[in-house]
Amino acid sequence: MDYTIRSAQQPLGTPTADWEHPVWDAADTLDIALYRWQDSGHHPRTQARVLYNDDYLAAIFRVEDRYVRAVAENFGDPVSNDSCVEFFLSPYAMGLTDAYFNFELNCGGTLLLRRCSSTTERGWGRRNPLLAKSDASLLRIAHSLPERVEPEITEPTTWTVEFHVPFELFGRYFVDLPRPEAGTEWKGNLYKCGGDTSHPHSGTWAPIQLEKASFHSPAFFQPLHFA
Amino acid sequence: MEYTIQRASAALGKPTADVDQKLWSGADEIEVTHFTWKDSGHRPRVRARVLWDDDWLAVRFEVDDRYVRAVAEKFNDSVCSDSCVEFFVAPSGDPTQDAYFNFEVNCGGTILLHCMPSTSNREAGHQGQSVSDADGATIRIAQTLPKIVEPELTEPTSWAVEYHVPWSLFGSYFGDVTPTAGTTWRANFYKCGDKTSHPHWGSWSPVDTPRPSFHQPAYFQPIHFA
Repeated sequence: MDYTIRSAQQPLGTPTADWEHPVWDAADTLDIALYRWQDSGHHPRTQARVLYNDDYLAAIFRVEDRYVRAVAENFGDPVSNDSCVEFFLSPYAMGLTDAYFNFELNCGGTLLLRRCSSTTERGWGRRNPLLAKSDASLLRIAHSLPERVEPEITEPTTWTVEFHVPFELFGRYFVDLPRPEAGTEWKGNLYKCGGDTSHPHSGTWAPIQLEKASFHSPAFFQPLHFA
Repeated sequence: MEYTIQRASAALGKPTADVDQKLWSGADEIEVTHFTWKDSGHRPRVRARVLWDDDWLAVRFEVDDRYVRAVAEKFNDSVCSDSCVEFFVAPSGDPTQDAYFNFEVNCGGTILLHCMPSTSNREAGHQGQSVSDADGATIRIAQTLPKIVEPELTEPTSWAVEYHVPWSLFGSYFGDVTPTAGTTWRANFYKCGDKTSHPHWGSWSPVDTPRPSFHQPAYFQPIHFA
């Protein structure tokens, strides 16, 4: 299982959260479709696309959802309790180095982002610090729903979020990291969740063979190839 | 799959890294044979033996290698990027008590050693803990190669490391766990070389994860003190 991150064929511009925008014609589509853990039974169809250019990595999610909620409003609030999509991305290929960024966004476009330690760094006692607010503000984010969705929307609702992250941000948090180019391999996984919605669920792109739901499992990341 | 740690038949003395030393002929041998992840194709022959006595746990690795490199030179530097052998050991036979030491040693004899939390404590948010330099210095080590091997040796090269760990070091991080004959712990043995020209990841007990990952105590196997 792997995914190819294609090169954008036109300027990425500012994010629009428009799944049908022509910029995304160049991208492969993946499905977050694995729901292996016991949950409410609500398994929203969730798709994602990723592109890159010299300066930015861009990702868009489309969710055919219901029971949609967003109450986290500030950077670093626990967005995974809301209707949430996540992209965990380790800027390293094969090997034991598995530090990563966990991009977590609720349907209102609120972001949580930590620089998660590698296993070896955890052994050194290094924690997973939230990014500095000034660094997190380098992300450009667009979302189709309002920032706050409360009470929950129980009707079928399709929503999108899109974010662009400058490669410079990776350079600030991961040492000795060249910018990706055609042929570069990174690794990661993508998720859908909604911990405190009325219908909690935990979906993944790449399978995680663990008994308990645990997205922070870099051993199960799969290759992402830059083309 | 399991391993028996024989009791040393004579005083362990100081480590020598001499693979012909008679003392070691009494030890059982394991081989790191599971190179299950996509790699460079370089799969060195790796054998390990372990002995114990009242004061020490002694570990010896022999590697028939090539593309050999060692640049990490200080205790707790990232030795797994170099030509490296590893012994992860949880001082309990109970799979749920799986806090462990990860002894990682490059071919130059530089050690990285952390005390990693049990799975349940990790899930509760606990990080690992670096073993202090002073505690690390209580490990005695010998190796056949120089401390720094750079540039890489691309020719076939056999190397060995031997280290002796005092039981007091386990005591400082796990409480009194000193084994007696009949005690069972759990462990795995590994070989890697992430930043050599030919990266590879091997284990004694196979680890069923899609990416190379050694910190998986669920795949440790019983080791019995005889």
